[in-house]
Amino acid sequence: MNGFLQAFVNGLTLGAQYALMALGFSLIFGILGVMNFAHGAFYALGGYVAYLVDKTLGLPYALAVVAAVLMTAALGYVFELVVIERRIDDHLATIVLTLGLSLVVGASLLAIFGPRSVDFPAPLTGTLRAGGVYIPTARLMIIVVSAAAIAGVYLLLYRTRLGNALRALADDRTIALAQGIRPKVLFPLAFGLATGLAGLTGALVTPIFSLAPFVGEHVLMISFLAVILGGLGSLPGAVIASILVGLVESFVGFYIGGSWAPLMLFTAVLVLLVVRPTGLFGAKAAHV
Amino acid sequence: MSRPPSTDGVLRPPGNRHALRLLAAPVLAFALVAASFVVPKVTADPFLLSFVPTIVVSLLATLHVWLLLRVNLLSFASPAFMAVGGYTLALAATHLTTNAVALLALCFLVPAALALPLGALLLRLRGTYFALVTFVLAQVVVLIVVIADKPLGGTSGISGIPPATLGAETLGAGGPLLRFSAIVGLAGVAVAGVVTLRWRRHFAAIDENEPLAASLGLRPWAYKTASFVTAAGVAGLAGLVLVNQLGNAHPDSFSPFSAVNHVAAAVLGGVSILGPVIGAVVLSWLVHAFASQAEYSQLLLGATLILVVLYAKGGITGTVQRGFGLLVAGRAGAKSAPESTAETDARRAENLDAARDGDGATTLDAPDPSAEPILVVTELSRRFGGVAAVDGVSFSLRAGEVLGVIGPNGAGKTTLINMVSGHFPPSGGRVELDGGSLTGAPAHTMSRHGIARSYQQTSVFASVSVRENLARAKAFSPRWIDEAELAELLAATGLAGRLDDRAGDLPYGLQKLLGLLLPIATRPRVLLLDEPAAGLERAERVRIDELVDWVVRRGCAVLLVEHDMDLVRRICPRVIVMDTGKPLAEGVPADVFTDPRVITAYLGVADSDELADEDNTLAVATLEDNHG
Amino acid sequence: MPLSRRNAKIAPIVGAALLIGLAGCGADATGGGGSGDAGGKCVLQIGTLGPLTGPAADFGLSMEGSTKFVAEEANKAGGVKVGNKTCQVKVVSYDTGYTSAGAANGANDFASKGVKFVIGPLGATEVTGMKPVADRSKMLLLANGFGLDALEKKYPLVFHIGPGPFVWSGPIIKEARTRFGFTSAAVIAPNDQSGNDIAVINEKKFSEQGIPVKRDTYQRGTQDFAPIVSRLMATRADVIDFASSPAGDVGTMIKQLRQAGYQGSFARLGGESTNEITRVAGIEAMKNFFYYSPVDLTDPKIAALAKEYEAVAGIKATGISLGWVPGGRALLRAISKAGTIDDTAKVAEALRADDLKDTTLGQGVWTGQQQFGVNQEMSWPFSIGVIKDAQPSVFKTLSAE
Repeated sequence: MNGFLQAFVNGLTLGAQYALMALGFSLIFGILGVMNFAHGAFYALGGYVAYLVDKTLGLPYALAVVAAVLMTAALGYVFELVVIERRIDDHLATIVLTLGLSLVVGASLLAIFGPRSVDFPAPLTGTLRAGGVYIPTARLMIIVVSAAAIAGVYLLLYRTRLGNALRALADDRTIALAQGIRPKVLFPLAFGLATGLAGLTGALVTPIFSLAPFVGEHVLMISFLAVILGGLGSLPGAVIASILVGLVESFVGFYIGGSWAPLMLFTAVLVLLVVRPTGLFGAKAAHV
Repeated sequence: MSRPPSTDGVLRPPGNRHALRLLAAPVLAFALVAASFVVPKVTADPFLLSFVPTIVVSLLATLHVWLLLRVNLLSFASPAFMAVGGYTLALAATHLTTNAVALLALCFLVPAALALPLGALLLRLRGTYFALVTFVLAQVVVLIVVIADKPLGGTSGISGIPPATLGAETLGAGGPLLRFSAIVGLAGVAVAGVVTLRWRRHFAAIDENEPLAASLGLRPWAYKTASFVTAAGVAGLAGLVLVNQLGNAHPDSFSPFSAVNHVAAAVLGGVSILGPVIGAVVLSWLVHAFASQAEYSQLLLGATLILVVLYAKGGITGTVQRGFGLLVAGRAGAKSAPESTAETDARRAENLDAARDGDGATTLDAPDPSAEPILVVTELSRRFGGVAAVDGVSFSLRAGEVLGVIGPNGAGKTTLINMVSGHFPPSGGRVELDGGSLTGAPAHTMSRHGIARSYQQTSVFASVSVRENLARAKAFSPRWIDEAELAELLAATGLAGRLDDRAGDLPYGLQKLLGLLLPIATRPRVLLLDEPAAGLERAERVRIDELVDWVVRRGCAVLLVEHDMDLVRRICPRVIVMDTGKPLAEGVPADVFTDPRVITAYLGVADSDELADEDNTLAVATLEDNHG
Repeated sequence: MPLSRRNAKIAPIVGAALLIGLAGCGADATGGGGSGDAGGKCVLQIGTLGPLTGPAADFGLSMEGSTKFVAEEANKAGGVKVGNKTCQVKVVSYDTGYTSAGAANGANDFASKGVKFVIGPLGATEVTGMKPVADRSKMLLLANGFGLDALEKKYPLVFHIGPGPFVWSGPIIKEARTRFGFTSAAVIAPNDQSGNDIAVINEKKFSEQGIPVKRDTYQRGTQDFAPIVSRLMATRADVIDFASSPAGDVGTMIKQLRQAGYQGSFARLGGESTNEITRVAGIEAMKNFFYYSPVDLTDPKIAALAKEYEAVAGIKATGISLGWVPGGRALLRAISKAGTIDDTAKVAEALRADDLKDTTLGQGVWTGQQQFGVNQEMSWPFSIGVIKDAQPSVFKTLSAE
């Protein structure tokens, strides 16, 4: 029973961190129609910016996290404005462009910091225990931040004029254009917001595990899984599916063994993509 | 008897540059094979001998991506099919035969056969979804290999695989390996070349404008499947060369992320069949040159990818071709310079004359009311989410009948056409042609049964000449008209003199008329016209009367969605009015236009005088404003 | 005249086919290359390859460093005497990216440069990929892959530069048991060849000593090990061996296991990388940790070697990098004794006859017969490194059973 509860808690903590990544990934796809293959690279970049500010400049960790968010958001904003924008209507082109960016960011991190993982320990080291179930404080912090970020994005999208405009763009670009909404202003903002979320995740999560130039690849794959399961472009879907992926990974990992979880998840996603491309929760299939 | 201008000429491009280009490929292929035979005689440089197979692997994997790019699909599945080919070789060479020819056939056929059912499932997806699903597929294949301990060796793979043999010769090292790899590479290029050349019009049309191609009768799934199956086989050959060279099949060799390199090489190389060759060579060189500093080759690759997509969409070969084209154009002088306005004006005047000449033909004979209807549409409905875009529309069409459909924007007129033409299935109701049900059939089936359509926005193959547009439509449609009729149509639309112009460079009106001509030339039994007059100048609108008359005379039924009330009044004996998806009124135009419900639906206020006004200018203007 | 036109088309094709046929008749050119004997000066090229970038770069860079060190040592002493010439040693590196195909390409690259002797590659996967290709160019390999079939009778030119877990796992477990007194074990490694092949041997060695053991795998690239940690906790093992898992993963797992309340000890019976594990996990979390170390880093002789090594290679000396030095020295000895820098079979013969007496590590022995059926594994005395109660490592030298 303890094992079951612990697997459940583990699944939630995994899911919370996946949700942060998948949220940004889904935001970009929903609003811009772009599949951001560089999302994992922004995660790694966020980790390294936080590492630089915290360890090299010696500033407080909270400040390092803020710096990571700002840097990744700024890079995302500029990349959308200068590069993506010019090929925004060509899905295949944007995939290749973001792939290119992910190679450039990964290679730059490798050239600057080297291939080894850097020494970047988490500032919170304690562990909470109750009734045979434990949860490290740092993980708890991620759950809190993740929940706050999800709430923030929700408020932004559903309670502000900017959010209304963004949602209008996601729903139907032609109609949104007719209503005078200007994607040229909003797309970079949305992209920057999403990459900032990836940077935030990187700054929060990498100290708990490890930070090396290639940590983004795995995270990107998980984002794919969560976002496909949840329905591309559906934000609530992405969040729910992330938690689902976390739970599946945790339970399968605990009861069957480590290497079966990915096979089962990937196969499930493959089948789902073919049978129901809109995902478990998605309703619209604008890009199918 | 005066012969009409031959359309044989219409469909044949001028000059024999095409033939030259066709000849270039086999010549190059022979040169490469010859080189692969001669080089090992001259030198035994081990690097050269082994680098060539490495390039061939990269070439064949890139060819996989390239083939699918030709039908506008991005595939990350190259490692998946390479693995299938590689493990096929490993198992076959260990247990079955080492005969090179047998292995070549097996390693192509097994992945290709696997791709056939997979394609049936996956090719329903497009764009981003297809790219994602292939990425996931590559992951799944490796995970399966790792778990399949028994036949595939699990994490350790299969080692000690005997090299391929041909007679007494072993093709595992040195010169024989180089020759074998080069020949497999060329076989892959040849297969890809034959497939893309044989169906170049089909592939190019799917890539450029799939809905239009389908509405002209092309079956997209057939050509996508052809591309997917060939691409899978070619990737299988990459696996063959790789595993034969290494002597072992290992899950590591088929890492899903290696697909990124193949995509990069395909994008870098560009659209020509030489693209994958050049892309693979460049990429292999890059990887080799920075072998001890992989980060720099990655950096360079990433940056180049971004620059190519932004500034050189055709990749290396496309840029070279364009540069060459500019050079030739420069020599030829101002031949391709835009026409002078004077010339355009002259042409326009000429068009007007032609229109006036044909004016007498616009009076239409009423169809025989006792004839059986060709098309019967019953209670057709379509819902998007919770909204009913079309809600219970019924009508029938007899041969030679013209039915007008009018209604304010958002009334569901285009949705109605989209359902009858098979662009998406209805949520309810029936579509019957000659008593047989075609409900929910795809666009190409509709077209092949004789239900053709035009599009509200211009829809032509803009990147190629008018001549090539016609050639494509002819290749797609089993119902294509004969040369004499085509010549008549070309004359009637004023396109006869512009056959070699790029369709996208034509003035808007002519593009729109070309968009009308293409479906008409598939000899439809039912023609669905979606606002053919929108965006046309007044003088050009007359041509629509002519075209409609032309098809009606041949017994074709016409459904005309239009905002130009003059046109509707002129050519439609019967009109249906739609509002918010429902049929509102039906009858002869004169009655319908004075129906207060109709006027309310259009203007929000009852102002019958204006709509019924003989001159009609205000009403038309209002309707068009409404539309814009 | 349709017939003649067709003939005109066929003629060049027939011609080309004939040409190819003719070309195919001659024999292929052979030989060429050899170790560059440029301008009368004798240059002995030693290739070294392994993952120089990526997560496993630590190992590759160590291997490159050891090769450079051995070369520099020989050059400082005036070069390697080969027959009547004295050769300068030159190191050629190649980055394999830790893949089978990468290692095969490296072999080809070496072949093109005339490199005949190679120190490397690293890891079971790389050795598997490189062997057949290296064999075609008669390349002599001093490999460091612990794969189940790393050495084979049919590849007489492949040697092990150090012993594998088959040799040292047993003695280390025996020694560690007396210090930590564990009664049940778990082995965890990634689900690929580099992970599996070692984990399987360790599992066997634990159970040979009557210790109940469970083996588990995880997907390479995993970031968050919480599910695997829960699974390991459920085994109630009191020693967890990470076999050859990447150092970063080991560090993360140690952190997460301690957070989960794990009280037992840890083992690293795989490639030595204590420094990096410590950097990620912190020594407090490691607490009780024992590992295979090719050398005793506290031995003054070794410490002196480490200093020299760091000066030459430019990277920190580790147990693993110093452990490769004697093998490199033995190779140069054998080349000198065989008197050739081209005939690798002759050098292999001389190497097999070498008595493995090293100035720093002392007397070594040839092993491998029991595991692979060939005695081509150089085994110098190795050490167990022990971290007890988060105190710095102490070593004890052990030898093959």
